[in-house]
Amino acid sequence: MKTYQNIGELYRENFTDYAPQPPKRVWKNIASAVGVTKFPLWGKIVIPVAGAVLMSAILLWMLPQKGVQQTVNEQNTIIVEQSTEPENNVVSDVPPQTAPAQSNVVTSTDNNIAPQAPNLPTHAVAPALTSDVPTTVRSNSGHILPNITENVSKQTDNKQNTNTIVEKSALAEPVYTTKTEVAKSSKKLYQISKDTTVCQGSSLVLYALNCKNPRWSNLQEQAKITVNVDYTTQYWVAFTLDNGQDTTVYINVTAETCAEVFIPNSFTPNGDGLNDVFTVSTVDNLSSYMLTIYNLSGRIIFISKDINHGWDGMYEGIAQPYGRYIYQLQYTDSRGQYHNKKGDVLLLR
Amino acid sequence: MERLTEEHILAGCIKKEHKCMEMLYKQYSPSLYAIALRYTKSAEDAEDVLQDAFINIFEHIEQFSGKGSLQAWMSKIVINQALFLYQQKLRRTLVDYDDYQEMLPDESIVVSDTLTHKTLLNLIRMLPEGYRIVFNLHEIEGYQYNEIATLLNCSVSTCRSQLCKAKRVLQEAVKDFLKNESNNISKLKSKKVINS
Repeated sequence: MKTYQNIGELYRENFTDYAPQPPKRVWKNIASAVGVTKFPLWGKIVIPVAGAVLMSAILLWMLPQKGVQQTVNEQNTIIVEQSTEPENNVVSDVPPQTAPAQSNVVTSTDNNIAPQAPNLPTHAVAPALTSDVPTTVRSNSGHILPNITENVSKQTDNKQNTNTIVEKSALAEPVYTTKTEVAKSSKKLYQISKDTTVCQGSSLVLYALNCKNPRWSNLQEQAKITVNVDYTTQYWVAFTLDNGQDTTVYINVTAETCAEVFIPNSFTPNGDGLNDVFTVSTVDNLSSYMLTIYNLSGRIIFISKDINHGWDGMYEGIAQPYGRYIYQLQYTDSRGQYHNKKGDVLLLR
Repeated sequence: MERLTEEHILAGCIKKEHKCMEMLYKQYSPSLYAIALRYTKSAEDAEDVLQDAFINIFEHIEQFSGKGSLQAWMSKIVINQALFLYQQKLRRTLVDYDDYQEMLPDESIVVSDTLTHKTLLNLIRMLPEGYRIVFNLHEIEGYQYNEIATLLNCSVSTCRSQLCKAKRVLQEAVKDFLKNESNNISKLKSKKVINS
């Protein structure tokens, strides 16, 4: 029970704090009247997407023509490579007669050559072999091939041996001849892990692919082994080359201490100066950083790209209630490693 | 979504940023809706008033000088909108009573907690337009008689008489309501006694 001096006071006091929520349709009407609809935002997304689709369509349309040019051009290079095969393949074919100390050189050159020799022909052959575009290839071939043969003959003038092969392959069955040539020329390549640097205590997969009879320094004999790197270690793998000789490759794995990012599991935004803001801390210099806070209904209530700007427990000026909040922390550390950490933080008041 | 201050929201609204406009609406619409409810005859009218007021606010937000509070400025717009809605009716109802000198003695009212905003609104809505608007302006918003007179384009004495009548009618209405309520409660109690 409460006593008021007069009717005016009754209304005045009752209505000072009265703030009912208006119906949602009011905002909809206002938004449409002021011209703040979702359409502009929509358009921002749709127009680039449409543009991208159009571009990709044009690219796809252009692709068959390019494909033919590429195949023929690459035939040329492949054949040229073939003609100089003995010189080029020295590294992969000839067994290293030198001491194992130099075998690192072998691996590195192997790795460099690996993508060139076996991969290029398969790429080049693929578009011409697919059943989707045979007609375009044929119709285009009539126009394109003469030019190419000219180019090829110009290029191969220096190498009289290969000139005939090129003309044959270009005029008759360009795709299949190259395929067979490639099949003949492709040689087994030893793929062995390179020297790397990892975070201390992390696990690493070492491999020695296409190597016969591999023996690792930790007495394992698989092609791939997993090692836990607690400190800088030199691993080695011994294997048998094609010519029956044994060789050893050394892999240096450097262990570095990586800076940890500390994420607190709770904070108390009550204004007492202690743990009022939810921030992550690290001694590392992060090259990128983004902290996103979600509430339990999945709404994003805080985003920050500044590591010094943490969440103070507010959303749209309203202090958020006690409870669990989900965070997503994305950052790139000083070594360029990208991290994406998710978890929850407890808000206490 | 970072926390934005009022200045940020205002700046965003001037730039017609959707997010800021929505934030401004979310922050102020409940209190402004309460004002609109008091001045209008129905909830539908109140919605219309709030809607038109916000459209005006967004269109003329750059005119807000920053001298007074944003809340006060926006309330004024809502009130003007409500007056605009009842302009024609007001012209008809506001008859001048130049010699009206009746003074109403203030009566204290004892109110139970059951008197809700809804009933108070229903009671004030029963009043004619002129009574309600003058009562609201003078008693709740605290406007002076001469201010109201210029707003409604009538004489000060008209305002006085309107307010006086409004207060009397409203007072009676509240008393009646409370009496009925107490009767109802006593009826309920007696029923319960009989039932038990």
